[in-house]
Amino acid sequence: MIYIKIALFGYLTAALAGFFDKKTSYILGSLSSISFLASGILSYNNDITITLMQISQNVSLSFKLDHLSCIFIIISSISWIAVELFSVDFGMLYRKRMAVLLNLGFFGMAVVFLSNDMLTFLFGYEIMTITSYLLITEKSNSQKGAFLFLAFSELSTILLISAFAVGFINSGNINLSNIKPSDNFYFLFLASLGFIIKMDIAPFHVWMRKAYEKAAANVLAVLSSSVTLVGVYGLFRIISATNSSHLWGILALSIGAISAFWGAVHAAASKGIKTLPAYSTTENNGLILALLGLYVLTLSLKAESTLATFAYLGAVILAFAHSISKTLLFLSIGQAQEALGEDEINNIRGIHSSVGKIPAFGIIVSGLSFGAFPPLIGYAAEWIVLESIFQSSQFPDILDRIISSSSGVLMALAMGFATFAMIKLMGYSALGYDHGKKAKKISVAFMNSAQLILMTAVFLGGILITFEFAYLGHKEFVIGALSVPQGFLLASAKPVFGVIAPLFYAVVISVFFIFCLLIYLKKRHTTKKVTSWNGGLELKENEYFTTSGYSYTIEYILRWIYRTKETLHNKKALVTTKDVAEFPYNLITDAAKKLSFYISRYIMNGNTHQYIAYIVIMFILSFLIF
Amino acid sequence: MRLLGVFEKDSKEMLLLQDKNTFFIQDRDSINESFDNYELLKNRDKYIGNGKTEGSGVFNFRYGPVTGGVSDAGVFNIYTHGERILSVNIDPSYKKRGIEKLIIGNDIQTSLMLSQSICSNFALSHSNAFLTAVEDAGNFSIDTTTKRIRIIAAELERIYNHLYVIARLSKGASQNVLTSHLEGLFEESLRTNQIFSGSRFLKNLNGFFIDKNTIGSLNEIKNRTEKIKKDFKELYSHSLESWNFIDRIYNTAVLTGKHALSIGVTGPTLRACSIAEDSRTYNKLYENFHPITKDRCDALSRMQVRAEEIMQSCEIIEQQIDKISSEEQHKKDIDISKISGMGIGYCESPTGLVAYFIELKKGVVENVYISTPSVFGFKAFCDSFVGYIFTDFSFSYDSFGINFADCSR
Repeated sequence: MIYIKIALFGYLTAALAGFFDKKTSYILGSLSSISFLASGILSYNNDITITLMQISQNVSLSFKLDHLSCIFIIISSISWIAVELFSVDFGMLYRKRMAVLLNLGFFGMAVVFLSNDMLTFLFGYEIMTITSYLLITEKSNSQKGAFLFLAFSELSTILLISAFAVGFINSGNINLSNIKPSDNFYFLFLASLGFIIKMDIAPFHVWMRKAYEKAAANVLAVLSSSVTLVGVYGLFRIISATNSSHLWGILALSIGAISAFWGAVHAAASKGIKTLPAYSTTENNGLILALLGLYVLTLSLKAESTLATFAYLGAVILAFAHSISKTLLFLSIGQAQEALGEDEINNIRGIHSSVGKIPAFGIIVSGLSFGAFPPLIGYAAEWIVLESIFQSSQFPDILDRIISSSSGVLMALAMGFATFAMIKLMGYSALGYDHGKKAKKISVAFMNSAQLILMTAVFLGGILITFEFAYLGHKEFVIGALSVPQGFLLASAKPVFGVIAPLFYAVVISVFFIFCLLIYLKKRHTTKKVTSWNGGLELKENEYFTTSGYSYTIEYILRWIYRTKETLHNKKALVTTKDVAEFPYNLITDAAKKLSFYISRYIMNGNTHQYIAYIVIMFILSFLIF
Repeated sequence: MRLLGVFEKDSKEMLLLQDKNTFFIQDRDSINESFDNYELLKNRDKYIGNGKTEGSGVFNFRYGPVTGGVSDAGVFNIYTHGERILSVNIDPSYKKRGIEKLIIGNDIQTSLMLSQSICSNFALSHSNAFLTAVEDAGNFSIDTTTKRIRIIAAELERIYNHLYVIARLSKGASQNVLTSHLEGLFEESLRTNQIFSGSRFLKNLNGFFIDKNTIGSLNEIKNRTEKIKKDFKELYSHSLESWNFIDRIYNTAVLTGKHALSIGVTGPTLRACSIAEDSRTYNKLYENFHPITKDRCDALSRMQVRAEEIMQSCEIIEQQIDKISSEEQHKKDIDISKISGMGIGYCESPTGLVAYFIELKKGVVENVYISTPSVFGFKAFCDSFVGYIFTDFSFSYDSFGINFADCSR
């Protein structure tokens, strides 16, 4: 209880401090996040309700900490601690306003996780939305992207307000835990859509490319991991109150799988240092949505199986994996991008030597996690996704089986494409050849600390997966077999269907690594080092294989998806791809532009006579109608 | 009219030209016609290709100068944005030895040796072209038997070169059994050369008089060529049934006839574009000679032309051997130390026309310009490779039968 108060008060104090001193503000913010983490951990097994204001007999504003909110508080606060610490150094490159807005944004999200009623929820939700919008505008030329973000966010808010209104009419109170969404189709539909938009699920991800290109890295870390996590939390919250809807499950599974595939495919073709992780968010949140769909679908079938619980836990682990790995990825690339002043993956090569080992290692660790490399957290999360899908063969209805297996195919493809994208990101940025580009000198102590914390979390999150399941209260999935002691083997079902032991992977990999390292250290003086053979000449700047080259093969093979266009004119060549999901939005914006053009030209064109006629007609029409 | 070369003479830019069987030089200022390949020939020692391509993501996939895929040194600057080839620019300078400069100031015999050293696998063609240029400058002709021996040598050179090219194409398509057999035949053809001339690459054979009694047993040569022809025919028919192989070269590196003519390409590359041009038709000793042509203009057509030319060459050799056996050889007295004047000679090498312009003063070379088929071949490769992918490199490149040694001299 005290930790919640410290955290909330701390965020507001940090926001105020931001007007005076940026460093103090971020340090206060990080301490508040630690307090928020403590509140999540300590309250996990004890539900707490705090009444803030009693408006009427049925309507009160209150906070509530239950299992679900504690899980999301733990997940998000780890990310916030890192972002605040990172910003102690990074924020020096930006105005004081950033510190104010960042802490206000965290306050808003904290309120969302704590809220027990619709009004408090919307209050926190809007603080988060508005501060995020203003944070995007912290960088120059970012207004257009920020406005797109705001448009989608407000659409989400409108849907949630409508859903809550329906919920209130239905239940007679505003308490979130009293709503029975399955009793009301409209509530379920509107709220789900509102949260799905917040999760950047395809096709509601189209704002990302323009907004992400311009925003600062610490803001992107928040947007991509924490803000979308709020959407995930919202879905968890509404389905935890549901009696399970078969249709909702089918739709969520299908839309999630399509989103995962779409995000991964476009991540694979991305060349921007920020757009690639942005599309990866669409992919990861798609997987989370699909797992939630599978959970609801399995529940609706009322089968005696552990699949529903396993899929639910999988979604939690996936949300955790995405939150910390994506925060790490954005912080690491942000440090490099800020130091080198480049936006393209192609131009940011050799981070390990030009910027530093920590950001390079951060990109590699997060990239490997997204590429499901054992024993990292992403590996465990994606294994759970696949195991859950494999188990859907137990569905009695053939249509359910077809939908789940088709979704599984898309998700497996998504994972493959995501790995392809991450290899590109890691290979070109962190590990690529250093081109001697001078990095800008910036203070890095806090930035490095933040990344090291997240790297540790990504690693420990993976190897301690069995302990996480146990902590979440599901020891039935933690077993011992095949010479692995009890407590170190994670089973995907009971009776056992599939198993993994990431801790043992870690041990095996470490042993081999240490063995090879010892041999290398012993023989390093006699080891001959040579540079790679490039036809006998040193590579010139224009002879390095580019990211376009890396992606071109799939852009060509999947040209019907990418709408790949090759142009060659006057010895200038260009390959362009398109995200066709943007077409409807482009049509709407074009139509709006044309409409505003005609209105400005023919109606509100500054001609006094026409304008007076317009006012008179409008007056008469209003009079007649109302 | 075909432009074969551009060079300086008496501070004037001269053009080496071919109009069917007439070869001549002309002052550039005195000619109204423009040639598409003028820039190519003007800059042949600096770069050959179709220029650089730029753009976002476009890079130079440099291949060479020392690489396993190409047998001699040269750089292929391949501009691509990943897979599709956008343009190719070749830097041939790594193999430049300046042989033309070395020839100048030397006597005919030394110059002959130097011309053979330009490119070992076209050694006979270069020596033939050089000697016919000297004959043209001295305005004399040699005995018919020597001419026939030169024809046999030229056809032997064609056989082993064509076998080599087809083996390379087959190797590129991982046709290991076919490749092994073709390499076996290639070795047989080199041994035949050794028996015929004492040199596996037919070096040091040529001259203004070749005594038919000093060369290898003509009967043995005839028997060996018959066997090569028979064995190759069988291999070739099998190769055409291998779809794995044919698919790799079918429709690969297509060069249209019109484009080939604008570049100035000759030899099997031109004949694979359905253009029946071969300088051997100008030689009356080639009786009933009809150039072999194909019409698809791709790597497969070029291979087919070469394959059928192997069998045709075997027949020509047999025909010439029969003639030599039945005729007497009369040596002509030629004093090459007194030859002065200008002359142009040529020879149909396995890859196309080799032409020499020389200026002699009392048996000493004062000026020389060598037109080699690989210059045109490289340009043809560059242009035909655009739009394809790097996997097609070996099939495209090998199908032209070109090499840097011949190109760079």
